[in-house]
Amino acid sequence: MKATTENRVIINQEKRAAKPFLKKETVLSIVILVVLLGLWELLSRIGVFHELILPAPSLVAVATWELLTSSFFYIHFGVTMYETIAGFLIGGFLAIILGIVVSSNAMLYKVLNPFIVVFQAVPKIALAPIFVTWFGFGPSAKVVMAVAICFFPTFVNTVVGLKSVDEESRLLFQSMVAKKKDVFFKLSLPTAMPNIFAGLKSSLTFALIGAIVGEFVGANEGMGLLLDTFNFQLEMAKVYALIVILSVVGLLLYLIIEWLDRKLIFWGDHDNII
Amino acid sequence: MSTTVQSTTVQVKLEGVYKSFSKGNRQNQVLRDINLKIKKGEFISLLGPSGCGKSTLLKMIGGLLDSTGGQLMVGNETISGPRKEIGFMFQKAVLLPWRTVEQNLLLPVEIAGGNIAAAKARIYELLELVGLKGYESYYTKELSGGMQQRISLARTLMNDPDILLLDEPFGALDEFTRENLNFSLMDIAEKSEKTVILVTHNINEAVLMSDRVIIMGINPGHVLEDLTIEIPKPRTDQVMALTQYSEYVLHIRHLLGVGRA
Repeated sequence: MKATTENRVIINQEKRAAKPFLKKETVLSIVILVVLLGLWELLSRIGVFHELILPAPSLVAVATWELLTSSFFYIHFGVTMYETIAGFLIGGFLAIILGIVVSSNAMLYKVLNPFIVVFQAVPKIALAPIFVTWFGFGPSAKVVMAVAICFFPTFVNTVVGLKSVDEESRLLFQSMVAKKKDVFFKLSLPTAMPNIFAGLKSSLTFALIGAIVGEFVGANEGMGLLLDTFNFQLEMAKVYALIVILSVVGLLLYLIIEWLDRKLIFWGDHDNII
Repeated sequence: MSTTVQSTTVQVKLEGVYKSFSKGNRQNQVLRDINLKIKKGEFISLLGPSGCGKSTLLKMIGGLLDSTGGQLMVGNETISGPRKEIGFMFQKAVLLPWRTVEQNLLLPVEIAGGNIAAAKARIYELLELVGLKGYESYYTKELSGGMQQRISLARTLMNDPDILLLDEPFGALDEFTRENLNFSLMDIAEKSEKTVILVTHNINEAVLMSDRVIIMGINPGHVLEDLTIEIPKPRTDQVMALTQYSEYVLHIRHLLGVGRA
């Protein structure tokens, strides 16, 4: 048996052939989107939906443009992004470290588990007013909120991932008389990586939610404050515009981490969500 | 041409070995009074039906499981845990999917703290030996099951262990691939004078490859017979045409109660 480069080329071609540029289902999704938006526009124009209830997509588009071309928007946008990313980085880091610590020792796991279960059951959003009381109206309260809400997905996935090492791999390392350090870095951690990344993906979305909820409760700047203010002024098109922008931001953040996932966890099975 | 490389030194010795697992309050005995002496360079098969404790016995020799009673020795030392002179190969290839073939083969060297540069030369040697020259940069998912087991075998040989413990290593592969790998394995064992203990439930395979077949029964696992296969080595598939070979196979079948009475 000799390795030929042809073998590889064939494998690559098969992969490529199975993934055309625009899949049939993607085209259908776009068609549905266009139809829905058209229907919404139509119903708003003929007055079925009142402008305050559901402004037409065209009005939302105009409001989005207005926001994106005004400088005050970017101040609020920057604050929310800062809160989200800082919260995500701190929360994700803490979650991975604590996940590793808890998994490192069966006794420790049993002792800490009740606390974890209880804290996980706390609706973190309900803590927002407390955080504002503790940390004030500035960004730090929102960062803490984002940390609290994005901690668990990564934490739970880290613990699950570290536990998912199969028995035969463990025995293999044991048969090689491997040190604990080698078992962790060469086996457990890489095995857990796909799970950790799955957790980080959820955490990133949760961090954005945390930041905005924090701003709802009490803030002097940020997208949440902006949203609240426009809502109060009955500027509904702008409210919807902010929701559109926030969704796109969430999507972009997700795509970045998804891309990183594919680059770093090249051996894993990835589902094509988009 | 009979070139059975065997010295008279006993390398692995089992004396009155027992094993039981506790399930709740109940003690479940899986192995009873196993006595076995294996000489350096011998090829031994542990043969028996599922549940005869052959894999458990192998794991105990490999230091991956403790015995409940009796003594297990390698050379003059009691087996108290995994040892560097023993290489263990599992039913699954257990290659690390984030590592290339080369990096997978380096794993035992890294863990033993060996010389990586020197090991690289050995990788090429071993890949040639297992018939996968040129596959250094492949990842696990680019390899077939048979190729993965070949790599697993090469990895077991990386640190040049004296004793190979093989736990149904080719059991999950198709008949043709398995036979080819069996012949590769015999080649390797003969060339490098390894002591081999192979766990299998394939009678033909055991007779074809082994110097001795340890036939085991169940409830609890025990040795039915320690059968020496006196067919000269090296063996080819021509061996299967010998009356002697069929007699061994039939003898074992009767012993294990296989087929029509």
